[in-house]
Amino acid sequence: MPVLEVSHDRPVRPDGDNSADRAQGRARSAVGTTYGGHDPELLEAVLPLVSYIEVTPDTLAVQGPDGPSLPAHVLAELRDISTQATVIVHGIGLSIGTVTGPSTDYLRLLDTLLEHVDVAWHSEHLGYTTVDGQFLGTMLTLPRTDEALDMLCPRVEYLQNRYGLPFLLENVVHLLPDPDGAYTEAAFLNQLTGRTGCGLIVDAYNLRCDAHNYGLDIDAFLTELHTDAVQEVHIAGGATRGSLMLDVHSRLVAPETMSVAQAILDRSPQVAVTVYEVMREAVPVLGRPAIAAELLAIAEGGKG
Amino acid sequence: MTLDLLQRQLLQLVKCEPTGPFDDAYLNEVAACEGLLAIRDIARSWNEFSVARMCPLTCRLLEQRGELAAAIAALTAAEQPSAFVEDLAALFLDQQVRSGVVIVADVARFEVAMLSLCLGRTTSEIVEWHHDPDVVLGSLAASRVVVASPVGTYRTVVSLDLPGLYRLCDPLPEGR
Repeated sequence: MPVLEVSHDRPVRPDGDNSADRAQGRARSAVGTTYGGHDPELLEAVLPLVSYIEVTPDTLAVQGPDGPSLPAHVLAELRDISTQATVIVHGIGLSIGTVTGPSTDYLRLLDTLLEHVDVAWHSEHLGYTTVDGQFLGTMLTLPRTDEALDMLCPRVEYLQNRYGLPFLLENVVHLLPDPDGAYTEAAFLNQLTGRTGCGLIVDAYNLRCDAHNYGLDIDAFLTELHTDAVQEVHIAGGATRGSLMLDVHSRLVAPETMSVAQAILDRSPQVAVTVYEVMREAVPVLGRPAIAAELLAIAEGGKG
Repeated sequence: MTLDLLQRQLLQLVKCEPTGPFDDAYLNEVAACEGLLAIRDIARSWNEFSVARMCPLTCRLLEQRGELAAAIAALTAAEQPSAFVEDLAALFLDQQVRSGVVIVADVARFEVAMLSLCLGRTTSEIVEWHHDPDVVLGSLAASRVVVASPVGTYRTVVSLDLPGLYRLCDPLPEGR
């Protein structure tokens, strides 16, 4: 299977218009990457190669006596980036799945960011990071039950109304076994998108982790998923611990992940961007030139 | 099991060693799974990485004393108010100030003040020491083993106005 196949005589369109490629039987999207702030060298290396920059308010914020905030110089940098690429927001700390309620600190950060920077859409992980006001130190998935759906749907609708922007949710890696649920993985996402109109991010690496760790059938998942809702694809490289694949965005993208990403793209006509995610802490280890080369290879279809 | 109860039970499992067997088969399955150990490892690793960056002197001293792993484990098991590294560092330093080990508490208090300075929460602060801070800080900065000086009473002033951000105050009079 071709991997994010892009003909070498035509660059990736910054607007992500892939209709011509789709007509030729291959799907593609624009390319984006993560930016964790405080790294102008990385920006210089990647901005010429991408159409989208993904930012995470939580990692850009500074905690203060009155709660976390986004410093003026961070907002200024994001505004500058937005003149060269489309900025998209991808949160970690909203904790949309916490029973006692999502993080109000995160919402305040998002308020500030959206007030100062043009953003195309925002998104979160379909999971939770806090319980009873305590940080878990990880992100856990929700059981696929009606109770979870009844909790999530009004929250998604609230976010859509509050910001008037498209809101997407991303599939999260399962490191713990699932409790009994009423829905398959895809059916649960279908319920969410059908009831709220929200979009989806499908993380190809996370699907691979789930397939490796507990036997998710990726093809069956994608066949069942209402892929019209998929607007963004994530790719990443991660680490292993024992027999487990972990969702740590610390490496280059494996060819197998690119194949899964291509399978998602082939079935998802609305995907605007494929984002290569690298956590800020991994940038010095991988090296900025290697990240730039990876983005170029992704854009040119040279991976895999 | 309700979602609320499930989340509280999983919080306990993630934070603590399992105290099962549980009445619930699912919780027993979680308690025995490799993924739970991986989650704890990831949390410990992130915490160690974060405090090493935010509190390098205290971490270096604890490492020299062979106490860093236990300190990180205690931090990971504690109630963390948020994912922000500033909160994590404050919690870690507070634990070390309360550790009862005088030299560790001295260094942790100094880093509390430095952190407050760097985050703009204060412009100047006095930190009291029980060992000569020049010796302790000089050793830590040079990655040399800290050989504690005789117990005494010392003070440093930590201030944005100082080159190097701190200086040793004049020795306090005996019997202070």
